[in-house]
Amino acid sequence: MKKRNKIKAGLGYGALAAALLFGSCSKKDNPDPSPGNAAVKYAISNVGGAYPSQTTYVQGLANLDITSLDNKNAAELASFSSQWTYNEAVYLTAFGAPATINKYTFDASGRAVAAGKLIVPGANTFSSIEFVSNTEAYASVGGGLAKVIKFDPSSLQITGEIDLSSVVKPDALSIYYLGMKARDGKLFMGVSYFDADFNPYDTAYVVVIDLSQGKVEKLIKDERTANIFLAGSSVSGFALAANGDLYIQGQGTANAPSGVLRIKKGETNFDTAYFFDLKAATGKDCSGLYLFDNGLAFTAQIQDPADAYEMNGPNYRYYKIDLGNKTSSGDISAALPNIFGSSTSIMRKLDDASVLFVVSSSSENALYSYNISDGKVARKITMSSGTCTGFDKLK
Amino acid sequence: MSRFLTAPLAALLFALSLPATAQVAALTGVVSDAKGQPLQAVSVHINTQERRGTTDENGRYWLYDLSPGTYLVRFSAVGFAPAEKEIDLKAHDTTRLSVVLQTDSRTLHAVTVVSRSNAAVAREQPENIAVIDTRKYYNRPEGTISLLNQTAGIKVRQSGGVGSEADVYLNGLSGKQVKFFIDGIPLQFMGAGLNLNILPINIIDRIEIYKGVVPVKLGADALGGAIDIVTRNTIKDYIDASYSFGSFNTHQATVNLRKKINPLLFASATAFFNHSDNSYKVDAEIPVAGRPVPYRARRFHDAYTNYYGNVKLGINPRKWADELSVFTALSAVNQQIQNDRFMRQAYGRVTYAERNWNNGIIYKKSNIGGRFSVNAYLAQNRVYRHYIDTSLNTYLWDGTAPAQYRRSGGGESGPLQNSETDIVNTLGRLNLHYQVNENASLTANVLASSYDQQDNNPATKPFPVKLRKKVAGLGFEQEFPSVRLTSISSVKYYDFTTQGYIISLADNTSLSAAHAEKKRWGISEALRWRIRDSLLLKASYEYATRLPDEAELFGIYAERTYPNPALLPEISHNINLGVQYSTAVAGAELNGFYRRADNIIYAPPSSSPFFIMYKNLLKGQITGLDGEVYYRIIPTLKLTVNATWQNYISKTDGVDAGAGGTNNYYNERLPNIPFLFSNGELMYGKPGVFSKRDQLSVWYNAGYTHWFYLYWAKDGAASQKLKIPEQVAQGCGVSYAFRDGYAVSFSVNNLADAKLYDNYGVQRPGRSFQVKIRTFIQ
Repeated sequence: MKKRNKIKAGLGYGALAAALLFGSCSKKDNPDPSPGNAAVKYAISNVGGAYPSQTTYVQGLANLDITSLDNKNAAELASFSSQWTYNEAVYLTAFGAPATINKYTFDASGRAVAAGKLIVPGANTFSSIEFVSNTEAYASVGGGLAKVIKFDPSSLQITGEIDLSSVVKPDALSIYYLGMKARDGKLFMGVSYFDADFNPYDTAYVVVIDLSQGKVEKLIKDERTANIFLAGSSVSGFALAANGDLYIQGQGTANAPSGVLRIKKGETNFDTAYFFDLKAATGKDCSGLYLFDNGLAFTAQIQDPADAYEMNGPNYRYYKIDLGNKTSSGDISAALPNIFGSSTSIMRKLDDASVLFVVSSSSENALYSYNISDGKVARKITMSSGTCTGFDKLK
Repeated sequence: MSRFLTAPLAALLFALSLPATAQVAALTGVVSDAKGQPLQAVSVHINTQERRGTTDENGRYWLYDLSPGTYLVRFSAVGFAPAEKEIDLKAHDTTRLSVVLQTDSRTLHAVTVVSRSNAAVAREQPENIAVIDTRKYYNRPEGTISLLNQTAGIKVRQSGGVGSEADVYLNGLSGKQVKFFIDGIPLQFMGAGLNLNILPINIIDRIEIYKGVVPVKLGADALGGAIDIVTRNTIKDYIDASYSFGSFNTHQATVNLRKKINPLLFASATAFFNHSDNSYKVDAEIPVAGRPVPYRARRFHDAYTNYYGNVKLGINPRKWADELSVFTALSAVNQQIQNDRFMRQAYGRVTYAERNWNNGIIYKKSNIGGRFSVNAYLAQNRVYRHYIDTSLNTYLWDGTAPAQYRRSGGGESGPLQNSETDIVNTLGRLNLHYQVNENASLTANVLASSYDQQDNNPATKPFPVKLRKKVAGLGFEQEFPSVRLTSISSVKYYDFTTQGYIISLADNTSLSAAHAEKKRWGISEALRWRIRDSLLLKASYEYATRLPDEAELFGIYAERTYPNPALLPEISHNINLGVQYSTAVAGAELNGFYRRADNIIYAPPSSSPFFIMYKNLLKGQITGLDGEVYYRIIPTLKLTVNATWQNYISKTDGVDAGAGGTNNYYNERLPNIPFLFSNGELMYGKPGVFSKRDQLSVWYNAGYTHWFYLYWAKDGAASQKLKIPEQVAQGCGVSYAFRDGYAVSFSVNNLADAKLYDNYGVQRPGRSFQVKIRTFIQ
């Protein structure tokens, strides 16, 4: 007998890392937010386990002076989750309806302590969270609910909604509201439309929301690239430069290359004078955008264009790029294995000298460091209990 | 593998080399009880010729190579008065002699003993087999799933109430790895209207559970075993009707009848109806400003209705046929779907419907020329499936659909769907049995099926899915009376060819035609050593195969499950060792089992929004023990207890296991699978309470499942591990059967109103009540 309500709830939002399957009830949560522990400086989550049972684990770390990390001190979540952090708390968006945010703080040992839960029925997941202040944050949802949820990240209560019905296209079979970035009182959110054959539209769309009014201001589009499809947790697609310029990466389609668009500071339209064609610069389409100080930027290049979703194994390599000159410096290290870049390609600034990045491959799971001064890469922490899907420095 | 092949093939060749003895005279017939039920394992003895035989499952016996003359034939079985008949055997002739045995009035508990005559004998087959004699449950409002779940080595995990999905774990393997049959025909072929989770026990004679090693007669590509539902088979006219009703607006009705129309023709009919609102209460959450608030919800969109009707018209036994019949069967399922698989999100409009129309012909003839039997089945089932998920509303657990959660797209359970699928299934089975000599027989079985699917999706319509499967087997059974040893050796052949489509991974859109075919061989050997009449030792092995099914090969387009026609069959080495001891007062059975499975088909999580795809990824090893003891405390009071322990560990390497190339989980126990569980039943049966032939039955049963982890034991902080908690499910009931063929019963399920979970987060019904009335007229 056909039971259709099995896996499909997990489909249609796969770019949110490996956030598929195995959603379930959440553990008993603590409605009273607990204060964070200043000793814990980093939050790290990983997908642990092996087929057919995998899920997300989260823990806090006081420092990174370790060579290997397991999840014996980690909290076990009931489903795959994406990690977001703000101040001293970590917010894990679980996959599977209703869309759920589980908030945790950390005790002195780095153990995650439940600090609340927020749910939105009808949506499969929260696809992205953008924090504005201690009491103001925005979350996009996946699964057909045309709205942005405004909530208080301290009390974890919904404080408002922004109606997105004006950006719905009736001819689109699926609409995905994805990565976001707030700037100058505006919220810029990627929107991706898919037709009846599951093809993304050959155009890049970003909805501009006026936060003071809580309304959609306009939907801007650009045909130089397409498919703004990155949510931002484990693969980032939005980057805010030090001068306030906003860079947004499009995944591309069969008819449009992957590339980077820009919305200059103070503007709410794409910069028509700027487009970085990643396919032309690197030779193949790319996914992900990481921007650090002094224009240092990275993406991940797809190796076999016919296997972008890596059914045949890891298929991406890290590339260093120059957003200003719109050039590529190539593969950051030939010694690195191909990574599962469609799921996770996290890069975070560790300190002034180095960038930490995730290597998730068939042969290893690790955090590597990139030396900013000489470009050398080195394995820093071996992840012995699975793929790192979330890594953030707590403030 | 060669060492496993050597023994059975040697036995086969030895047997085939035995010279056939010229037949002089033969004797055959059927032995039945007073109700017309065929009796198995009745001893047939011609004293002066020192010739013995026993009846088979159809009550039929045969003795051949007899010398002509007049003899006294004695029929005897435990619980029955012996019968003797005089016959005159003529040279070059087959004499027919059928008898009816009467219950032995000197043994008050004859009914119980009689029921063992079929089931207990089947239980002593060389394979590792458990047998549920359902006849003793006819007066009880039990379901088939409930009975299975009380059997050693079996754990059934249900996702809800009546009609809900049931996953049967058989010595650790589950899902598609365990195959179900009804009278040797795959239950899957019959459609959802005749599914295990709604099958009424009143149409069943017994349930045979083959653990790991499956006889060739079933023609199964089963990796972990098979369950065969053997329906009632009587030769006398009767009508058996029952109706039960209970909590959550549950109604179940069953009618069975058989009527001899005239000397040439008979008609029989089986019909049943099930309905339940499944409106039991669950603990859920509803949001208030986004914060979840606990809410005790009554399930509001979980109604299940199905009906099944089968009419058979046949020719009464003739010289050339024991049965020649045609049948037509209609069935339907209408099902509301209440929630996602983890019971977190309520649905309010998702439905599933299925219709089946199955027509076929059956031919059976035993003892052709004293040695040869044939059993043939040919049928075609037309299936229509309709899945509807078109509502934009989002329902909360209180049954409301607030406007604030109304979606602009997407269905409640996934993509918007209104998918209709038409399937034509054709199946043929030919079973041949040849009695080589008194101690040896050959069985050949061929089961061939075709599956043709057409749906209403414009994209896939040009590529109709076709699947052709063949499973053939040849088994040789040899008894060695001098050492009381029985051996069954078999060879199986599996073959499938498929035709459908693949979807380009480059653009996720383009479809093109695809074709695949695979062939495999398998072997099995089963040995039984009867040390004493009451003590058996068993050993069995099978190199088992499961062929991928149509959903795995060609996916489900609307659900974005991609085709993978390159899938290989799953394979497994299955080994069993067992000992049985039984007397009229007490008995015990202990079985050890080992499974080593490879090429297990699994759809790993994908980073793609467009698809998942099944692959041959996993390997596993299962070791375990299951055992059962029963003790008749006093003649009217019987205690039965069983327990199962199993250890399913991963043998998948790090790459295929998705563990980043590490072998951290190699040899680790698979989580989310029960590994220790037990059942017990205390049964009191008192005949003649108010009248001589009345029967009072009172029972209490309990099932225990040890807690188990949702995810791997080695991951995560111990204090924050997620578990499926320990479960204790209790039930009790009373039934009273009147001598004029009526019975009434009352039962309570989940007596303690415990919060029961078979799957993480998915609550099963609380305490419920059921009343059943039944009549049997012969």
